[in-house]
Amino acid sequence: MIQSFPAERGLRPWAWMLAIAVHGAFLMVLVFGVAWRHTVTPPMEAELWADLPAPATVTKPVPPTPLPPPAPSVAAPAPAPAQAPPQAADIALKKQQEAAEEARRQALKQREREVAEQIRQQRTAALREQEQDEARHEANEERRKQAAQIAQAAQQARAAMIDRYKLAIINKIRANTEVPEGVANGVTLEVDITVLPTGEILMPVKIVRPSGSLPGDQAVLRGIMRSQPLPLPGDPELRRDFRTTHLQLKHEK
Amino acid sequence: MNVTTDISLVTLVTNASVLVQIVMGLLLLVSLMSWSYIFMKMLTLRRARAQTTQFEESFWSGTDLNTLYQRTSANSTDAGSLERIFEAGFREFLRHRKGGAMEVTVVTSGVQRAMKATYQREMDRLEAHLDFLATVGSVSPYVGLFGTVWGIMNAFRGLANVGQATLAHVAPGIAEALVATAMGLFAAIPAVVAYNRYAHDIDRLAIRFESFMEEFSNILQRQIRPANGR
Repeated sequence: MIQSFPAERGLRPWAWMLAIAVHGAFLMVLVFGVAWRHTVTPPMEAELWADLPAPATVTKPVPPTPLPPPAPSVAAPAPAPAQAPPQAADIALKKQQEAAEEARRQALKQREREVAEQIRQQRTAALREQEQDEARHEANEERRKQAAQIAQAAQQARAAMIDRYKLAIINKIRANTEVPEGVANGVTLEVDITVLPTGEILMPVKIVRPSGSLPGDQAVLRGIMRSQPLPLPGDPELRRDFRTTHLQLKHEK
Repeated sequence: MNVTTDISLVTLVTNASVLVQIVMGLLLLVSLMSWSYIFMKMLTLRRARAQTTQFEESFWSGTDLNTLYQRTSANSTDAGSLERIFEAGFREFLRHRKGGAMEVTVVTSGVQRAMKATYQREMDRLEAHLDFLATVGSVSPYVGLFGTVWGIMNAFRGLANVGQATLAHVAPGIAEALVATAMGLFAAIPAVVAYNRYAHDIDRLAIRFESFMEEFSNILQRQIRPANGR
């Protein structure tokens, strides 16, 4: 006679529910109890500036001539980015900072002297010009030329800043790159990088001119990705110039 | 900004190859079944122990065997294993008595055979599904290992297509593959523990049943004597 086992009767649904509960609990422990993400805090970075960046001086020499203020392009100078970077609180760093501060002050004095000289020259030139030509039309012409000159100076300062940051970017990439064995020293790889304002790199990095060594290039590309965020100027005006950055990277050990 | 390496459980499972996913699914099913049997056997054995204890108490409390028999056969669908054994033995005894022939050896051996048959049937029911737990305990680690080996093979095959091999190319594949082994072990360990535990519990129950059978046949044998006694 086949009968259902009385001791087992009605237990099957309970058993299944308990089994599912056990699996659910185990899954919860796995999902919420284990840290599947692990974060690495990057080392702190500090930049040391030995001398004052150029644009600070360009802003000051608003020509003291009685002429009306020059073209508005000069009116929006880049604020000094020298104040932003240093943040490390090391004693050694502090000493270095003090040295840098001293150097900066001297550089500032030097610049001021130069600027004063420049201003004097400009003033005399303007006076002479005024004396030579009374016609208003020609005066306007001269004013325009002067404005153009100042704008050019600002442009140059800007270019210097960009070069400085480019160098910082290249240095960071180089620090993050491990060039593999057997790659020729000194060959150059040229890339175009699209950089977001946060310093992150928008993929893909475009290789303009490969160096000829594929493993070397791949190593550099990995180094570029590892260098995120790239050091960018604090000024959004300047930062815009880094949106597409052309870099020449030499393979060096 | 923080650098994050993100390997989550879900991506580990979804990125695995099809065969590994099949293995994982199989292991999950097996694990669910084995856990359900674990709980079912746990509750069943607990109930069986309680029923046995209860019957032993009422049997040794000096109740009349006839009333005990009637009570047992009245609700035979809910009776515990020991009650069934008692019922089978006493029924056989009553048949012999009704037949009139009260040869001691014949009756005792008949009663013992009837009880033995019921005992074996009850033991078979108590032991049901234990073989499944044993199989899961011994086989599922190998199934998981198979999934892992297959996944690692795939990971290395993918590595062959990459010119420059780094650890980052193989690591996710191996991690995916190892999930299969983890699942196999997760299914196997409780199954083995439960199998050993329940096998032991059932052995103890069997010993109780057997001692009861011996004692009960002694009692019946004593009842034959006065009936025969001339």
